[in-house]
Amino acid sequence: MICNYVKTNDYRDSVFLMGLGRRLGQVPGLERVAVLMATPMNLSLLDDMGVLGPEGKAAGPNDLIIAMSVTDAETGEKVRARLDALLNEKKPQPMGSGACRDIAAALRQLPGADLAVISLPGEFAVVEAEKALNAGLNVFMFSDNVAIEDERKLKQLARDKKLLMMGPGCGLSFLNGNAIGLCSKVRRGPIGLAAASGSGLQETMVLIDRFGSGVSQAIGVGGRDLRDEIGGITMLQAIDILEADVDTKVIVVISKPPGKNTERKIMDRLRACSKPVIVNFINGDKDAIVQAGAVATETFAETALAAISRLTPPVATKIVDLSASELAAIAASEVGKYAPEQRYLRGIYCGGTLAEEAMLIMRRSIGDIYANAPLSPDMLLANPQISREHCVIDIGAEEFTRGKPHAAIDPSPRLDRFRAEAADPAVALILMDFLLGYGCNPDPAGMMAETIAEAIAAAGRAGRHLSVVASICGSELDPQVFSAQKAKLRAAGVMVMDSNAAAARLAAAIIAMKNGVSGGRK
Amino acid sequence: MTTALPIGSPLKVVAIGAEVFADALREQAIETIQLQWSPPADIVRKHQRQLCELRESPLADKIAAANAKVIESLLNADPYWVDMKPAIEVVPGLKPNMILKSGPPLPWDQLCSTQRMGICNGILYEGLATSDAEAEALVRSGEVEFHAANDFEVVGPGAGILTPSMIVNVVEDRNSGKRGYCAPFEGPNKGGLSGWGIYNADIKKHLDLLRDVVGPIFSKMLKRIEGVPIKAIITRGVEMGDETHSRQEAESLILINKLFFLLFDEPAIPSDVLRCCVDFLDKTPRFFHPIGMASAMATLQSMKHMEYSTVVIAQVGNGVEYGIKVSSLGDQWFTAPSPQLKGMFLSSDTRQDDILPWIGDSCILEAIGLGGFAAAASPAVARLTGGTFADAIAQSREMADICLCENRNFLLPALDYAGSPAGIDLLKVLATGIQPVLHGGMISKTGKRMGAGTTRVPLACFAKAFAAFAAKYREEIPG
Repeated sequence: MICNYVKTNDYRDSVFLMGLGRRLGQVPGLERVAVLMATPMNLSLLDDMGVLGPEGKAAGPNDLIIAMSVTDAETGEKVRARLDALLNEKKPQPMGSGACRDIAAALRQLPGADLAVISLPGEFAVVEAEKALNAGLNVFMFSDNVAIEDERKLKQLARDKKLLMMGPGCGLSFLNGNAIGLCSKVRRGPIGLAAASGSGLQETMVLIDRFGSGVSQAIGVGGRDLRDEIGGITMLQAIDILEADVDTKVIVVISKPPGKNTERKIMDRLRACSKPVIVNFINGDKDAIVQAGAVATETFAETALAAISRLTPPVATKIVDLSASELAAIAASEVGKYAPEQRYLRGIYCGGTLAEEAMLIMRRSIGDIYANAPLSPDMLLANPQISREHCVIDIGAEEFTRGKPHAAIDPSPRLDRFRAEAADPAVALILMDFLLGYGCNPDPAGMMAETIAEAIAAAGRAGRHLSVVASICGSELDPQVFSAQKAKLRAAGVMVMDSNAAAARLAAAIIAMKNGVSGGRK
Repeated sequence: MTTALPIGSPLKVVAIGAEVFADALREQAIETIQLQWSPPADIVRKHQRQLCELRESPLADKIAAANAKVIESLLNADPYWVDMKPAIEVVPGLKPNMILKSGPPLPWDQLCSTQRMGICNGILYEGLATSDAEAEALVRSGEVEFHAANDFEVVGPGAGILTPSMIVNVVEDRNSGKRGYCAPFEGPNKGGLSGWGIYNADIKKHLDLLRDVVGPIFSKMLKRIEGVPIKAIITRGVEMGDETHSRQEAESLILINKLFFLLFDEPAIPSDVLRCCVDFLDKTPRFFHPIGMASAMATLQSMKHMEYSTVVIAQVGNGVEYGIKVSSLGDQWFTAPSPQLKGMFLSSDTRQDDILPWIGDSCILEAIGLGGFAAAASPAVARLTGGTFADAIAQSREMADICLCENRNFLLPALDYAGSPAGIDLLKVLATGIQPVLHGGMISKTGKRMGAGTTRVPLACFAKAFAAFAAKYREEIPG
């Protein structure tokens, strides 16, 4: 029988229509079908094909006609329905610019995305973070300059949605083996970390790896999370996660000294924690930590070691720390080469917390240290561009990075500063850190090596001796490769120590010996 | 309660900001999308938070449902050219002492000179005054009123002057019964009274001829054949290189071709009258354009007054201000200073300053997915507006980012027969900061044709509309 269906006033291009038959495929009971615009010529074609019925004959040139010969009406109906579907089939290629301008568009392109990494200027970062959280994404926010009340709102929103709001001001996180932010890749292992300090977290992670263990998860919470305005919202979530995580056997908590109320909350939480906890509150109060049943540590190397020491079965640590006599021997050798006027130490750091750690260690033996981020307010440099006496500069501080990428990405401001310090006849020793990891500069050691070697040679020609002491905050798994960076620095004449703490101890030992044991500030 | 790390494996990341972070993740083979983020305009920034809240509120579902209905009307619109009659006989609400003009309403003293001239000339044509001074006095006294054409379902291209006795094309959407009206172009008289507000003996003669001789024949003929379906003509035109705003070459040919035969079949036309009708078809450049515009108007009328809908249903300018309307906000206007066009000039000595900011209602075509939105249909227009065809394709794709549907009635061959993006969503415009793009002609401040180009609808129109939307539904918006 002949079945004709007419769709009035529905123009389709004839090439498109001809393709329909092929796409329809085999239908049992269908002898022949043609889909055409009902122009007079096409009607006569359909007539010749023997599929034109009375409805088709009445159609006009703007009408679409489906004309077929089938065994029964039911088949005709089936064919019509399938052709209708083909006629209205959605294009597989979605329209749109393909540009992902907002999170909603990104989620359409990458369904199941679970993390937003945000590094926009503060005011914009807040808006995007809120959108991300509302869309069900965790947020890693590198950006700082976010209003504290916005930070609290974002963190509360995240907590309500059972999501993590890492940051603002979060330098890195190491989650499920993924290095996020400016972050080292380290071996996986049984130690979980939660930290409100980027470089402190990175140093502890790489030392855990270097000393022979590994990291389960490392959650950056943002530098201000433990201030009372925020109340440690993310830190408490992170501790919950690490406690629940079967791969985590020991928990490490790192932060600058927390706000009083927040400290109480964190300590209450740690007291109830079923896993061993190591806490480094960088120059903070240890008593509360000990009372909470956790281990309090001072340096990040200590923190890493303490964490490894709590593992069962025990892990043999591969630590090569210098003994007091070894330190003294190196110091004596260096001191012997200095010109009489060389007496000062200068630190040029990329990692803010590492600079702080170094100052805390060195202050004990060489006395107060000037800084752009000093340990006590009276040691603030009047002009951060000009060093005086013993001095440690955090080149990652805002006054150096305004409008530029972070010092870990582009440490080039350090080159000029290094040359200036090296040329100062009163300077005996320069102390540095080198940050490795994904997102960091691809060759921080190579970038400095030539300048260091030249400066050491120039000092020699001028009848002086320049000591350069450094540590590398990175691992063998980093794209820059720890051992390769170390070799470059060694070749340039740098004394490379295994940790920032060790480097600071060596630097302090040398300078203390040069200036007499009680030396330092006049 | 067990608290698991809320991060999946493998990790999937959306990166916003410095690309170094996305690169670092990709280096680890982590699937990462970098947002093409740029600092939003102040207007956009101001509304981000509220847009966020709106998206999360129960109102979002109501908006989506309302917009879906409006889009259904848009897609199912089936405009027929049904009549050609003096405006006073067919345009609802029009009175003998009214002159219509393009764009949003504006007080007399703020109108651009082209429109003031056009309104006075319209009064002269209606025989209500015999001099410009007299005409202006009638306006100032309020004896003659002037109104926004869009408020009367009339499309006013250019100056958009429509007087009660001028004839209009009547287009009816068979799906909704809604109508749109637009005066036919004035044959050899360039922009004429309707488009450029100019008036002289030739223009009067032609307008009279249309009203007294051509109009009645077409009216009779259109009734006899029960109207000419327009949708299919645009569908074919778009496939043949028309974007239907700056170019309707194919559409005019298809329609005129059909009309020749219809005229031939029309009984009892004296040969001199037939000659007038044929001349009208032959000597009216862009004959199809007013019918296309009236079709867009009929379609947009069917999308109006849907509670909660955020779809733009009008976007028009008057050379001073540009205004939009939004479905759920009815006939409320949201205006901002009219934007300047950029493009190609006819004469080498033209300066950007000479060009009148956007004037005319023709850009309602963009609101149904034609013109600038269908740029990918038309390589010729891409050249006309000073871009490449690749730019045109990118432009259509970009417009899809602020639209709610692909108009399956207008398929773009260059985009694999995807439907042209249509249904401008106020919320998407504000969320993305992407301004609707318009194709159009340039006229000078003294009413001369200067060139062709493109411009964008000001964001401020959308910001104002959003404020009104938020105010209207404030009880349902959280925060």
